[in-house]
Order: sequence, then structure tokens, then C-alpha cells
Amino acid sequence: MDLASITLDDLQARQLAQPPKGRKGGWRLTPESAGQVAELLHWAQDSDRKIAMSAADAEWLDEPLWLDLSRLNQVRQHSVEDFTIQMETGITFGDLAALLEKHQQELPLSYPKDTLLADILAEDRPALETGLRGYPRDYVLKTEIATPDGQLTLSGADVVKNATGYDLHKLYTGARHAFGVVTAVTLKLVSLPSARECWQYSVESDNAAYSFSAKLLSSQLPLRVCELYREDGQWKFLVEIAGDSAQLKDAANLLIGMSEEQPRFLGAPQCRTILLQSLQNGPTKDIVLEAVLPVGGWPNFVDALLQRPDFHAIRFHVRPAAGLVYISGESMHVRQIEAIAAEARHFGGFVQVVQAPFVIQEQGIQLMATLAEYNLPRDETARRLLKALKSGYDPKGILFCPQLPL
Amino acid sequence: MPITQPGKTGPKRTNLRSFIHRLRARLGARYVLDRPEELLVYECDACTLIKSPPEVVVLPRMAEEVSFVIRLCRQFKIPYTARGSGTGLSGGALPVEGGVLISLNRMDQILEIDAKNRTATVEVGVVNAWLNEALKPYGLFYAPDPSSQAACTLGGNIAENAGGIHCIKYGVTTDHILALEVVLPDGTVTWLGGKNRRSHGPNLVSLMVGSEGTLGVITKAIVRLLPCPEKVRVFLAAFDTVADAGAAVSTIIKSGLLPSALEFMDAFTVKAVNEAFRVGFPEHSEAVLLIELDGFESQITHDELKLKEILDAHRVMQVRIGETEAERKVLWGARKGAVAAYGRFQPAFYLHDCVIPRSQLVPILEKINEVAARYRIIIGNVFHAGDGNLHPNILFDPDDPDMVQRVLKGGEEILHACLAVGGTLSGEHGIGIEKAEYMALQFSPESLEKMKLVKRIFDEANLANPQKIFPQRAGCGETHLSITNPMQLAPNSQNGEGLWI
Repeated sequence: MDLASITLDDLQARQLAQPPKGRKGGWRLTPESAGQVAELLHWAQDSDRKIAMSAADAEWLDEPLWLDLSRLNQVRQHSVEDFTIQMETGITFGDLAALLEKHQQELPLSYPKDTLLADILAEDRPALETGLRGYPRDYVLKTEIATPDGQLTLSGADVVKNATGYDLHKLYTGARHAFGVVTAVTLKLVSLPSARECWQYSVESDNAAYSFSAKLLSSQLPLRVCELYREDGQWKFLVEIAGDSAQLKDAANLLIGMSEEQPRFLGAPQCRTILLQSLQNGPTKDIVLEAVLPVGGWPNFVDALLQRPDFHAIRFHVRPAAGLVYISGESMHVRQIEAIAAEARHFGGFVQVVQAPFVIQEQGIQLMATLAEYNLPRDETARRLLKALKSGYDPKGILFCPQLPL
Repeated sequence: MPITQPGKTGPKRTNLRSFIHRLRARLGARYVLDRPEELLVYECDACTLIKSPPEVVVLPRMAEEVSFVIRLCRQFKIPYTARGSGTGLSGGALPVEGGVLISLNRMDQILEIDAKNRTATVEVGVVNAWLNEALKPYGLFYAPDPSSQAACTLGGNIAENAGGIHCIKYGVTTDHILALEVVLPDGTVTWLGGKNRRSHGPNLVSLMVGSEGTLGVITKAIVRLLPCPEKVRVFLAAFDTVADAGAAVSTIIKSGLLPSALEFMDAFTVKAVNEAFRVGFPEHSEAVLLIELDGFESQITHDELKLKEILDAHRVMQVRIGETEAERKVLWGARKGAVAAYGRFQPAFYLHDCVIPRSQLVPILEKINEVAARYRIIIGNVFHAGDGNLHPNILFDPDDPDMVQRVLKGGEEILHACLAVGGTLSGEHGIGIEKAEYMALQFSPESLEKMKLVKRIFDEANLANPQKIFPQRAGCGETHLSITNPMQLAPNSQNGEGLWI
């Protein structure tokens, strides 16, 4: 989408009467401070304008406005000794990781380098390390949000433990900016391991994959990543271990002895990054679903789907320690999606839609709305509470988030 | 700290008899208490500074009964407060406006241990330690372990987002709660969350955890379990100076070591526990750290070498290792009994729970000492150093009004100092009534207003545990503390059951 960049002053001056000549229409708003974001939201509320948090979402709006946070990228305070960092959320994950690496620190979750922290937090996006290192929400100590009433407010504190007031920062993380735009955050950090290695295993049968996964996860290995995916009927494991060199030497010997087939050494993590990232996100034309299951429940779920005749073209990618199964395919039918959701419910879990690009665009907003329903709990009371919160924070619904139909 | 009585701040109830009659008809007369001598038991929690008996106590057995009580409270416009074992330290379970106290102790069943999925489903009246006892055969454990775990209930832990000694590695209660059955203020019974940590939509479970019963009454929970570590080793490290001990804490954190506990005791506390329990902690030291490593044997051996290097680099005077369960029990027993041991010096204590950036440990401890000297009060420090979660225990004699005033002023000064270095009011005890007036020191009116907005959305009638968390007075953290009904706390130093922090 071709959006014109515009400042708030411009915006107010032009009142968005018309999109610029020759353009498809819409504006990309690039505030430089949290205060500007608050001001902008207030303006939007007063003017009854909806604002999207991505260019793609903005396309659904009659008068597209995309709030691009990428210029909101300052580190406010890095307390190296306290292992905390407070920064604006427009920073990219790559810039954050590079900054922290200089101090031998990290947020132990990895994402593509150009991903904005704001987007990671908005989805509480699982990373390769999530099963063993947790979710972004686990590292959020404090948030600053801008709300449609034009205010900037705080929740949490810049310390690693806190029981002061409601944990609104935990509510905002994963709320896709539905209640307000998260403009800054304080994260808890950990020490960067001095060495990491990545290994790959192939396993022939489904049952062998399930039991090998259990064996890996209960082993003494200093695991950081354990992923498996199904390719041409065969399961492949990607395992990353982390620690200091002496620990890794022992761990590598343990890994080699764990399987009859020799694992393949993929080297340092950089060597697997591209592969794993493509696994994580899938081709952009795919529909990607995330099935969330009790941690021990994923083999039964995958097994049940593999028994179905219409699932031969569907790909599976499993994060066993987190109980997450990513299911993707280019031409997944709504009927198949419902079948996957039903199986997930049967095994005590649920399904969310991670990516659904072209089908949605071709078949229109109605289908998008149908799929987005999967991103909310089925329980009516929980929905009612979420909708009440949305209308309390954003009474005019100016924060447009098609993935979360509140 | 105001003393409040029902009727003073709450509305006058003209229809209480009819209300109680209906409670009895539904719950049974045995489970509805209203005689003054019965109510007296519930007039405070472990924050005994403040007392306020309820007008009626109900002991429901299931969520549907809680729902009935809440619906009836709505109908009669009577406030209600949920309570577990009453071990809370911030007055969270205090029925400030009188009304109904919903005691959840009868809801005490462990409903399911799902070893395959590493979860347990419990009613909220289950005592924290009972769950871990039940988990032993499965090789699993529930991590949050407040020092009161022998008595406190999981419901209370969830309401206050309790911590404990092992939070530094395993996190606080909110990190271990997967789902909650909640009775909302409109009486609806619902489940939030599921058996996975991934939230379905914005995370309402983490909003409920730590909300101190102000958004509804939690009746069941699904908690996350972890595999028991293969090996545990505890190290007692004694230092000549507080500065060396503080620097050792910083270096341990910086080194990438992740101890499962990292606790600090000052010289006064060491003296107190030695006198009370004869544990032989090194008395000539100014500070003692208790450091626990857990994991696989190979990993612990590796970490132990690293730890010893760090301790040596910070001029450790003496290291004692607790390897066997019996040795560890002695070391942790002394730590958990520290507050009880203070009872030998003064009959009462006033406790703060602030958290500071860990780099500020030494300056804040110096400030605490300076405050103690200036106000001529005794302050014992025993706290979770690895989290920066301080517990300055200010000891006093409640019969000495001058001392009481000095204690309150000194305590407030410490709290201000902690906030000034970027700290927070509470790390694990919650705000309750005790710190509510201080909230304005940490949060702007706008930030507080967002919390109040959430409260209104859940509880428009403001009947769910009113007057908690939010400051009731205008002004900026002016608490006008006064102890007019001092606590009668005489910790039992004989059995080491110091339940509080």
C-alpha cells in the first residue's frame, strides 16, 4: 500500500479531507515521541478517524491511517547492572539485540531482525525459544501506553518484581494495541550465553518423533530451542543448546548419543536463523494457524489431524515444550480450519489465526471477520469483559485491529 | 494507617437480619457466622495494625454458593471481601467497610494432578504446602513458595500475586497460573484461561492475579507445575561488610548464574536467629547471603565453581554448604524463622515490602541504617536480595506511643527512598489497605485512573473488597499513619514458624 508520510501538524492542517492526488489513498503517520502518539490518538478520537497499526490493516479502512512507530525508537534507560532496559517500542528486534549483545545481555527470544518490538509485544508473539524461555509478556516489567483520551499512562515498575496495583502491562501485552498503543516498555534481561550450537535430527515415524521429543525435553541438555517440523512425511528436529564452551562440549556428546542416527551439526545459531525463521512464519501466501494445546497434548492432536484424508497438503511445525503447533497450507479451506479448531478444542486447546493473507484479501472482509473470531476466547463472559474493556479504553473504536474483533 | 470499624465507613444496614436469613437458608446455618465472638477471628489478617470485623462471615463450599452470596450482596448493596487463611501482610482480606467476609477455606480440594500436561487443578482454599506435598510422588512441584506456605492458601497467593524465596529463578505466582474460575461481581461464574500459558486474546488471567479480590472472587485455579530439580545445594556466605555482600549479589546476577534463591540477612538478623534457633551463623559478619543452586548434578558442579570464584572475589569470610536435606532445612529454617526471632527484641514489627533496582542495594541499606539511627529504632533486614525485594522489619513496642510515631516516620522515609531510586511499593505482599494511600507516590492520577477504569468495568457497584489498592484521600501519598490499636503480635520463636515473609 502506498501511503504518504505525514506529521501530526500536517494532519491537523489538512484534516484528511482528501488523500494525496494519484495515490491509492491513506496516510502513514510517523510520530517521533510518545506524546505525539497520545496527541494523535486524541485527535483521531475527536475526529472519529480509525487508525490501524500496520499498512495491511489500514487497507481495510475507507480513509486509511497507519500509525507507524518505527521512528519511536529511543532507548530511554539501559540499567546494565540491573538487567533492565526501558525503551520505545519502535525499535527493531535487531537493533535491540545488537545493543544488548555489547553488554553480554539479551532478551532470550529471537525474531527476524526488522521486526518492531511493538509488533512482538502486540501479539505476545511466541519465539523459537518460547517453550524453554517463555513469552515476551514474561519479560515485560512496565509499559507506557497512549490511549484515545490523549493520555500517556504507566503500569508496572522498572524492577524485576512487583505486586503494586493491577498488572495492566500484562493485559496490554498481547492485546494488539486494542486498548491503547504501547509506546514504551521496560524489559527484564538475561545474560547472553557465551556459546550456542544448533543440531538437526531426522526421525522416520510419527511415534518415534513424539517419543524423541519427550526424551529431549526431559534430558539434562541445556536446551534453548527444540522445534520439530514435518517434511515429506518425515519429522525433523532442530535443537539449540546454549551455555559456556565446556558445557556445550558435554551436551554435544550427550546429543550424539541420544539417537541411533547421527545428528547433523548446523553450527552456530546464525546458520539456522534463516531456516528457522521461514519455519516460524511460513511462506507469505500461506494461511498459518497456531494451535495452542496443553503441553503434553500436541502428539494426539497432530495424530488426529494426520488421520484425516484432506490434510495431506498441510504442514506441521511443532514447538513441543510450549504445546504450540503451527499448521500451514496455501489453500486451506474454512471447513479445514474449523476441523483443526474442533480437534484443538477436543484436546483441551484452541486455535488462533496467525496469517491469512491472500484468501482474506480475495474473499473480502467477511471472511477475515470469520477467521478473526478464532482469535478471541469462545466463552461469552470472557468476550463480554474484553469488549467492555475495549469500550472503556477506546469508546469510539478508533484503534482498528481486524485480527481482534472487539 | 487508619483503624476502621464497620458502620464508620460503611453504610448503615437496616436490612441485615433479612440478608443473613437468606444466607442461612442457602448455605446452612453452620456456615453463616454473625455472633461477635465468631466475627472477632476475622477482624484482621497478618497485618494486625488494622482491625475491622465483618458483619457476617460465610463459608461457602463451591463457586455456585459464592455466586449466590455475591448476587445477594448486590441486591442488598452490601460489600464483600474474600479471605483465605488470613496470612496476608497488607490488610487485603480486611473487611474495611464491614459487610460479608467470604472465607474460602472449605474449598480445599486438589481436583486434578495432570502430570502429563504438568498442571494441577485446585480449589482456592488449598494450602500452598499441601499441594507440594501431594505433588511429591509425581516428581513435580508448584514453584511460588511464600514463607507462610504452611498456612497460606493458593487463593490468597493468587489474589496478592505472592512471591517467595525461589522467585528469582521461577517467577512469582502470576507466572504459574494458567486458568482461573472466577465469580465476577455480577455473580457470573466463569473460567478464564486454559491449560497452556498462551493466552487466547488479551490476557484476563494475569489481570485477575494480584487484583486483591477487587475484580471478583477466585474459586478454582489451574496452576503450572515444574519438574523437581535433580539436585539442590545451599551455600551460606558470610561477609565482613554489607558492601561486599551487596557487590557479590550484583556479580552473581551479572555472571549469568541463575540461583534458585539469593537471600540476605544482616548482622542483627544473624544474631536474632542464632539466639532463637542456635544455628551457629557467623556472628562476627556484617551480612550473610543464602544462595541456592538447583538443577542437574553436572550443572550444579559447574555453577558451584563459578559461585565460589565470585564469593572469593568479594572477600567472603566463610562459606558453609547445605548439601543434605537436613542441612538445608537448618539453613532455610533459620531464614524463614527470622521474623519470629525478632520477637525476642521487641513484641511487634512493622514491615515494608518495596523492591528496588538491585544495583541500589548497598546505598538503600545504608539509608535504612541511617534512618534507624536517627529515629532510634531497630530495623532487621532479611530479604530477597536476588530480586531487590527488601523487607525492612521495624521492631517496636506498641505500648510506647513515641516509639510508634518514630517507627511510622522512619518507615515512610525508607519507602520514599526506595521509590526515589526507581523502586516499587510492593514486591509480593500487595497493596491492600496498608499501602493504598502510597499509590499516588508511584503512579500519576492518570495512571491510577486507568486502574480505576478497570475496577469500574468489573465492579460498577464497588462492592468487591472496597477501599483496597486505591488511595481514598485526596493528596499525594499523605497517609497520616497512626496506630491506635497496636498489633498484639508475639511471634513464636520456639518452633521457628515465622510465617510472614
